[in-house]
Amino acid sequence: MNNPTVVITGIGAVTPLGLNVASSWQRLIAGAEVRTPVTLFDVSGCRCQRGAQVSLPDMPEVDPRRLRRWSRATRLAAPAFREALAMAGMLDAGGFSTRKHLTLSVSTTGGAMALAEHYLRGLLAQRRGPGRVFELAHYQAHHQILDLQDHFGFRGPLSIFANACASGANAIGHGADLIRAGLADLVVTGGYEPLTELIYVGFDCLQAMSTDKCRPFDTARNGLMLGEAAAFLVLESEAHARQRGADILGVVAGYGHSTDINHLTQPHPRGVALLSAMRQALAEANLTPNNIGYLNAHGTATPLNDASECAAFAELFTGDSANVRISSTKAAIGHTLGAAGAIEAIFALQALRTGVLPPNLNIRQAETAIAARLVTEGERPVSLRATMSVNLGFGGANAALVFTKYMEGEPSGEPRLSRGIALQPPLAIVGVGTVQPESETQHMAGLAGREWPVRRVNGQRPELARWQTETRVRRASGLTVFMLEAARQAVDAAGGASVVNRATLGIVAAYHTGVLASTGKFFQNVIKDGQRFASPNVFPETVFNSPTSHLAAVLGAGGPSYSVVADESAWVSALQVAATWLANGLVEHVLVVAGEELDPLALDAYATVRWLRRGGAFVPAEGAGAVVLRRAAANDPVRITGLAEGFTHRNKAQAHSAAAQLFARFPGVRDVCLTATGTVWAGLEREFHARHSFQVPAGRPDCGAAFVASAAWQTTWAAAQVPALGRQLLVPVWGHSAQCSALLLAGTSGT
Amino acid sequence: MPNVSIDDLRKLLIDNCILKTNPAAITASTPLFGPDSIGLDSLDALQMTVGIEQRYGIPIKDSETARKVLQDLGTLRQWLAEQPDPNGAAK
Repeated sequence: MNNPTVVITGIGAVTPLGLNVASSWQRLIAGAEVRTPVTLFDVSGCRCQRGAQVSLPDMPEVDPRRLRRWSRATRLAAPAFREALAMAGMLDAGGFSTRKHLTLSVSTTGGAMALAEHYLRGLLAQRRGPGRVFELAHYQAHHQILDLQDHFGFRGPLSIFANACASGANAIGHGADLIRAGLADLVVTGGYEPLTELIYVGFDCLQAMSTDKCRPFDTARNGLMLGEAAAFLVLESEAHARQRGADILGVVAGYGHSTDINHLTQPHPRGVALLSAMRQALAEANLTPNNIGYLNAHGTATPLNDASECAAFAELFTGDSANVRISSTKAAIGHTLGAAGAIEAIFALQALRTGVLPPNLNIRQAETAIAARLVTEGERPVSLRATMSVNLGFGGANAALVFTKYMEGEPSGEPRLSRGIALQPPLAIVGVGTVQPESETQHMAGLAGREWPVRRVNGQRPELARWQTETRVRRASGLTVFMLEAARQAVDAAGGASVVNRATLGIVAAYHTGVLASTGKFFQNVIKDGQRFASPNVFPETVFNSPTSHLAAVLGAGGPSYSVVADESAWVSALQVAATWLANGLVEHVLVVAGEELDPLALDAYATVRWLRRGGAFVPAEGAGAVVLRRAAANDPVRITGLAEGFTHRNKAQAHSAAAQLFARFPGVRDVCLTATGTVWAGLEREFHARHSFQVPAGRPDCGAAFVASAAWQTTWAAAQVPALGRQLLVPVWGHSAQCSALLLAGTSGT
Repeated sequence: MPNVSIDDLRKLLIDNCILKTNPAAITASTPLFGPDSIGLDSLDALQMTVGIEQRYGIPIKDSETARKVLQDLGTLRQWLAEQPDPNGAAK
């Protein structure tokens, strides 16, 4: 059976140009641009002080008490999400989603970072008050998604990608991959990004922003303009869309992604990773470059980005494909980071549907290599067969999407009306690695000075200390070193270079607090010394996917790489990404890795939310865990046979219901790991174990609570038990604030 | 600008650029960038301009000047000596 065709049935956008797709598009093609003084936060210490802000809409349909609790990120996202669902015919008269189970694949780089900035300023000023708990509980990306779930009345599996500026395209690509792999019938994808001080100051200190106009592909371009936006697309299998009679706007015909390991912030000058992503996308779409009539470029207007893109476009679009029309839309709406790939995909789709091409703005002297291909203002509409949108990000994430017009035909594949937990094919765990804390509990002080018991990793262990000589990671915090060592062990255990082909090895990294040590260091420096003296050396390390990028570079991994963020459940989302890549035949091996690093700032946060309290069972920890996966054969000794996600919750009653639903998905399983010790889930887990008389394998060492790293350790420990157990073993992954998930392991003994 | 010692500049370099190099091995003529250098890159160049302005109150205003000034600690010391004292802004 052919893979299902992935179609688009709804789009929605909030941009600096307009509060929906139609108004944004009309102003875009008319050549409008937004470049105004930034008023959302103080920029008086910055070199650049302008950007593309959104004038947020009134939202009378939202309960004012709920609206007051929404961050700017949610306020940007909700209207765009509503528009996409409405266009897809998935909103009822009350404004709720008609589907109560909805899979999401979304992206952002900062989430609601402004809340975290306010928390940190308050902490340093020794401010007290109830607002601090709210700020901590709502700044991370999954909370904006929970806001959307609450408001639109649905639950479901949630994957959040933080691959820097390519994330939006990756989120769409992953949504399409899930449908092609038969793991979902309908996925809402997209991205959102509000302007925040931390990110704005970061780009300013890199001197990456222009104090003049933003001029993509101009020879005198001197920097980008930051903007903010949200954009969502409803993707579904063609069969599913036709079955429910949805209007089809276009087809996600191809997706390609790759990792550029040239430098953390500088793309390869010849754009080799971008070329690879574009060629993959064309191959999947079964098209050639001359089929692409319009390309929405990343076009940030930094000297290096645009030069790299020009080289790649000039190489791919030659001969009879040299007529491709290319534009960057970032002069009009700014660089919207985690939203960029999603909003630009919508622009590429709109070009395909209407034949109208968004013009390049502010070009005085075009880059010679692609000058003839650049769209100018006032070009006549053309008939297009296919369009492409490309994005490049910090850390080397490159992505390309190809859209084609929908031609009604026989639906390919059967509609899948529910998401199964069984993996086809199952995944073999062929290598594991762990970096776990020392056995003794130590004491560590938070920023406020109070000491708490913690479980730390001694970075001077020889196997860790040796990574510190790697030039690539000299600016990185301990998190990268922990993850590197766990990854090295897992790859070696899988057979090393003779078995695992580094050139095609894919990497999926899962994070909870992630790069908090670097983020906290950077912003404390901004608060104490002023925006003018923000650190260019630290800012790139605050980008969520920087450890992932370092891993790819140091290991020489040439396959795709993703960074997945949330709570502990990000580990299962990361395994799900790996399952998708392996099911679709994208790569032969995937390294899935998770890490956690203790930081004084995090200790204050845990004390603020009262996880840390005198005599409490919660002992925060650090370290990393990794597995290497491939498609399983029947006699592989350790296999992941099922993954379950999507049991999201926001309070104790919802958590109880989510846990009940999770266990109900595994009716025949009797052997279940106890994994919530020391976390907020411990009582609930004990209750379910008592009720169901689960058998619990004994002996898992207590390493403290290290969120995604703990989930990885539980997996590697359970993987060591299943061959002898001879039965299926369920490993619950209790996400403390987003979703509870689980993976099912099966083993074959005596092999 | 009063004379700044190579030791001061070495400390500035170590404080700002996260180096694994033995500080004692960095002399006035050790190249900071390029082949046979201590391996700084463009991010370090930006970081050094921030660090110099923060410590001495003297901004390096463009990348061409930065390239000239940041060849080694000797060129940096020479350039600082040529700059007018920014009204005692040194910290």
